[in-house]
Amino acid sequence: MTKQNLQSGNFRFDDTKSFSENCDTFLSCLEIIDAEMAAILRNNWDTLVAIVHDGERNSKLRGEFNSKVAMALDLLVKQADLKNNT
Amino acid sequence: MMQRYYLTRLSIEGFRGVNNENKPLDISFRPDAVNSVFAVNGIGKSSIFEALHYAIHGTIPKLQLLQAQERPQDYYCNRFHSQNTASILAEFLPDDGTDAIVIRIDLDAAGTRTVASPSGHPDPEGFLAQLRAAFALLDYKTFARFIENSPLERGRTFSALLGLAEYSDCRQALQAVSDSRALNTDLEIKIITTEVTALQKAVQQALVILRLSYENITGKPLEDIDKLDEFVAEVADALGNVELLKSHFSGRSLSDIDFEKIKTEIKTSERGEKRRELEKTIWSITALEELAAYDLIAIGIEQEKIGVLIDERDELLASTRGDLFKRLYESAQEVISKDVWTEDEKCPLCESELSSSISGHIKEQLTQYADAAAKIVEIKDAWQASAWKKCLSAHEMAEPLDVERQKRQFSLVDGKFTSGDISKKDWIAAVKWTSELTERVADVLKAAQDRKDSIEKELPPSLVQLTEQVEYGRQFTDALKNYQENRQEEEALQARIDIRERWRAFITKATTVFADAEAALSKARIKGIDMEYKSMFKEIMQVGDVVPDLCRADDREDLHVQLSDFHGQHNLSARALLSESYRNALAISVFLASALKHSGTPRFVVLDDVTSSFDAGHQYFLMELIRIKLQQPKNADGLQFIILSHDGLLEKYFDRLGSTPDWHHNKLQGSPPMGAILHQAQGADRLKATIVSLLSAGQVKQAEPLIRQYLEYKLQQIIRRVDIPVPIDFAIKDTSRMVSNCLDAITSAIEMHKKAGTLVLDAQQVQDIDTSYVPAIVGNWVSHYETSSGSSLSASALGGIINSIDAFVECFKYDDISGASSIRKWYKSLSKR
Repeated sequence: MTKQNLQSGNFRFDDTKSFSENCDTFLSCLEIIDAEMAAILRNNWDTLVAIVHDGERNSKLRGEFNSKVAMALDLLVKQADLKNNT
Repeated sequence: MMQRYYLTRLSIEGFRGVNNENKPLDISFRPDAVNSVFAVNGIGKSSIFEALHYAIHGTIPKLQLLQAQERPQDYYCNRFHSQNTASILAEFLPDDGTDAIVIRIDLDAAGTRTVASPSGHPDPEGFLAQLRAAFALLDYKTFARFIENSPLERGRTFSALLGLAEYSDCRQALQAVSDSRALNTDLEIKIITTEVTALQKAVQQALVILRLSYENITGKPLEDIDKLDEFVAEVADALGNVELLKSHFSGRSLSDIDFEKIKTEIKTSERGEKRRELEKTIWSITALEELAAYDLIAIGIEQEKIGVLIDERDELLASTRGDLFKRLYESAQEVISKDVWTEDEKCPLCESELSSSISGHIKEQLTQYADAAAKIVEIKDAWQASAWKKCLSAHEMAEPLDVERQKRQFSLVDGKFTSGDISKKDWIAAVKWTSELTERVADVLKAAQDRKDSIEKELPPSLVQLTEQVEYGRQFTDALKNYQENRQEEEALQARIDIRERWRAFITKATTVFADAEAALSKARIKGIDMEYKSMFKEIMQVGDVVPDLCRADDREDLHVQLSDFHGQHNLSARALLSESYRNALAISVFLASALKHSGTPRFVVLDDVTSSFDAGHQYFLMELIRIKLQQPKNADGLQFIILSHDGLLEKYFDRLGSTPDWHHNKLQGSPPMGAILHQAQGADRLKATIVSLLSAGQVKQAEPLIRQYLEYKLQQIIRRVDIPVPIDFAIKDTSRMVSNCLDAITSAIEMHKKAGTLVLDAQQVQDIDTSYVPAIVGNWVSHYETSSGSSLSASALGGIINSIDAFVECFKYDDISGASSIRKWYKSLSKR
């Protein structure tokens, strides 16, 4: 899967694979768009998947997910600063 | 290959309408036959469905809809069970021939659910979770909702049926976390942006001081801020070259210079009041020049913009109807969104007909409140980020302007902006007060400059210059520090914003990629069942010129139900045109086709009263479809079907097939919610034992309803086994007179065969029926209990009825001696052995 393919909406799930296998492929493909962001999404995937269950949305879990993402993003900024300063 | 499970047994005690204390209702189901459970209304059929739902999902939909004050938790256990506890035992048989798994679910009086596995499954709760497939438990409401739902709700429900619930949930989760408003709030993007704006303004103010002090020290303008390091060196040189300051600057950078120490030394060497006044006047001039640096034109534009926002907010608030109505609209929206009220063109309060949609009206009203709230936030944000706010604060606090404490207004104005209570009148007053203060600056600045000139003339020139240079040097150094710190902080915050925007772009793209892939998968699966559901619909409804079509939207989860053919017309709305039975036939076809194609761990489907809207003919076609084409093993990939029904006509069909290899029928009888429910096959022997035990103990009242069940069962057993014809309205006659109805049917049939000379019963049997058993049953039961005219009979009389009915049954059997040993058999009919 190339970035161009992904951008033009050519990514497809494989009907012979399980949900978790398809999610794994999905997350791997997202690395083409932005590897660092894809890693954050992968690390918090379990929290994301729990946000909606049987069609019911849990706002608290959404907040929790975004809070974890915010922490990960700030850590990336700090790491970049450290790298620039050394 | 995934292991899948049939439901082979269900035992219930103390749950909902099933009391059965110490005598659980125990029903077995065959995996290789269609299973039916029939009960007239109020005999606990729904409790069976609810018990299964609770066992598998841990919930009862009907009770979930109750309000908290209705205490739904009080209605799980049977209210007449002395322990107020419930237990459900379910047996699941793997389709690969391995051992059955038994799961027991207990609910105690405190409402605590515990799950265990008597057969030793290591994770019984996990096992039940695997059975939570969308198609396993289907009731009438599920089908009705399928057509009535909005396309989006239908799409989401249907995803579960296609085995795509996880994809649908995940897609919704991605949409939730990529929502722009949620991102702004959860990732604090708006807060950080406001902080950056404030820091940018602080940087600009620091630059003003840097420029002024640099110019005063070096006599040159500070032009290119990127060359700040050079300017710092120039200032250090300029001050370090002053003879009296050389010792302080030698070998030190500007930031290390102790300007206060220099000032103290000057004070010590020249103790004049005039010099101190000059120093203070220079400080005042700098402070006033800093105030004068505010861009009053830009501030005026900000003030106008905020004024317009206040007008817009007031206009929006005027179009709403106050907090009380807001609560009313929110409650109404909840009522409608939870499907408590489904008649969109009727008022839920007075139930009068409306000319427009009630949900549309509520949405419109709540949008007005939301717009007003958004406008209040917009006003607050505009104020927080404004130079006006800093300008007003700085002017009030500026020492040279000497604003009396009691006249200061900033705190009040800021509080009103922050709380959203700022009025147009407050705004006008704040604008006027700001103008007064800014206009005062020019006069005070001129007075300070005049005073400085005057003092300079009175002091020796060298000392004047020295004092000025030191003060400007201090100002330059302080401003430099402020500038650098604020710039650094601004850059750090900007980096946080930048990475958040990078995440926003990423997660938005990820959501689109996922949604596209999910839509494609869903479409493919819908296409996969296209032939099946269309063919099932045709078989149930026996029509060829009404062809349904499911259409999944490209960019949304919406699922539209259309008619690709409606008596020659094309692409019309199914919801608008189909009658209720057609709609439900379509829903059932779609559900069953999906269940067959995309089934998960459960290899059983429980259908609760799904034929309610069908006439007898369509019920028949549906049952035949299930029996012949969908039930395993006739269909090698088929499912096990369990059909719950209270339909008397359908029961005739169940009864007819009940003793064939294709069908396993259970009929429930009893007196819930207080008494026990038993199915006939399980119940007859147990009933008799209970009756005998009760009569022995003299408990006549408790025995009476059970005797009626026993009589009904035995008489109906004769009718079924000896094939006795019954009147067409037999099933819908008064059920309280079922015993005499059965007796009438049996005795009429005997009379008919007698007259025709075809009766196969021997003479003794006929005589016993006519002279002994029928009179005993009629005299001791029918005449007492069906007319409600008699008082209770004695225990011994009732015991006699039990003996009479058993002996009566024996009159329809004979000893078959054609084989090696004699076998007691039922007559095939009243005219055949």
